[in-house]
Amino acid sequence: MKIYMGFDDTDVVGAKIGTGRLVRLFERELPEGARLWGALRHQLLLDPRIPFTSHNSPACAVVEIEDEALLPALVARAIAHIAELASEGSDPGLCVARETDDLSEAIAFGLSCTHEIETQDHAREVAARAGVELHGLGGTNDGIIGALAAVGLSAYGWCGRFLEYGRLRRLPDPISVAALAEAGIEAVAIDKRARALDPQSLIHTGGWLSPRLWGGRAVAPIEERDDRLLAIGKRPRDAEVAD
Amino acid sequence: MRIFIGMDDTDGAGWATSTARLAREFGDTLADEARFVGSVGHMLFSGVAATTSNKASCLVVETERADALDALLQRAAAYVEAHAAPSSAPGVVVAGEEAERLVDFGREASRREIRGEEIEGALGGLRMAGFGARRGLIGAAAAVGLTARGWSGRWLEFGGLRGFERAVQVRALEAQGLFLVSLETDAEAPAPDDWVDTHGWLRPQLAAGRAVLPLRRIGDGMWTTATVEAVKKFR
Repeated sequence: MKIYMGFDDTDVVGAKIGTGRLVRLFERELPEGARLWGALRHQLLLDPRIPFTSHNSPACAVVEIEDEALLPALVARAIAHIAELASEGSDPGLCVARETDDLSEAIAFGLSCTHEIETQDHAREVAARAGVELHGLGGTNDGIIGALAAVGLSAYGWCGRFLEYGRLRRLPDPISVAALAEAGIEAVAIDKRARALDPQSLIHTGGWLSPRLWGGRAVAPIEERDDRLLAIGKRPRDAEVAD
Repeated sequence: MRIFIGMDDTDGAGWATSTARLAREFGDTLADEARFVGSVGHMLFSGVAATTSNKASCLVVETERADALDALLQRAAAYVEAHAAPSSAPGVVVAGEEAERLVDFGREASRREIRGEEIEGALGGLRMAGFGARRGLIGAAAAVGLTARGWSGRWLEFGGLRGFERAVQVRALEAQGLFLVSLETDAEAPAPDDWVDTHGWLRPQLAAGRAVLPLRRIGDGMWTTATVEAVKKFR
């Protein structure tokens, strides 16, 4: 079973560990019987009325567990992880939901957070109705808004990009379509032909492979330029800030 | 039940109706038989000498009728026979769950020329109809397999997408069942009130089995479809 674990507002300006990295580091805290399926970065509304640190981008660890009895241990470890690594002065929030929960309202909340200003009260109401855990862990507790949004957007399955996914950071460049598929990443041509890519074709990533969440899957959008297949990556600033 | 109807090689030099258009128009005749979800165009291996642009089409329909597969094959075959170019070599393949058997065949037909002797092995036991030299069976079967796989091709028809104006709001596209995805670094969800410039050519991709429209941001609340140079490639 997949467990969505949303984290937000764990850092302050100048912090060495941003929320994205904090979530990636959570993998080493997972108990036996739990496996990180992927870590996702989501983008929420950028608006001067929202007190975000740098990019208003929460992150979600999607963890696979075989035994639901592991859930309390997961939550406890996540809370301890935040307590250890969150910046002094931050406003951390944590949200934890099962994929089997009715997340329809959480999805709507997450999508709303991408273009509207949302409140803690609304987040708490949505979480209570969905029966998902929502923890404010310091400061103003404002992080619960982004934490719930990260869970909702991950469950939605059609936005955000992967910060971590299996061997993502150790894949070679270039890499074949077949090798990407073996790593669980679907290479999708987005040029006018939208053709099925030859499994032996080589994809050039420039070292910035950054799969997107499409249909609940890790997808590498591919474009053809100068007779080479290029994976659409990310801008370098994200490597510094969000990852 | 979801049913795939593949068609190929129905046109010829100077023939006004392409396979893509014929498939679409056939889909419009099915209201009494099934719900026409849409039709997907697939580009197959481009090195095949017998054709200039190796494009095949696959209709996607849904129905609960138990005899739908046989009935649809009969209707599709009759329609193709009546509307295909005299010089063509049409093929029609109809499949339900067994479409999964054609996934690998579809991927092979995308990367190399399929030899005639390979057809029987790949298509044995499937519902199909061929006319003339029956060359179109290859593309028809490949289109079915690729559509069932769900990760390539473009929707040429899907919920009335041809009726949209050039500039359209995100909420209107989502209401038609399209999934809009940002190719920007932030991979953000486009807002419902945002506007999309389709350049008058709205052909979502088939990805994750759905109709997906990749977008690039061009301004605050404004997007453009990522593939804008494809105008008139599919008729």
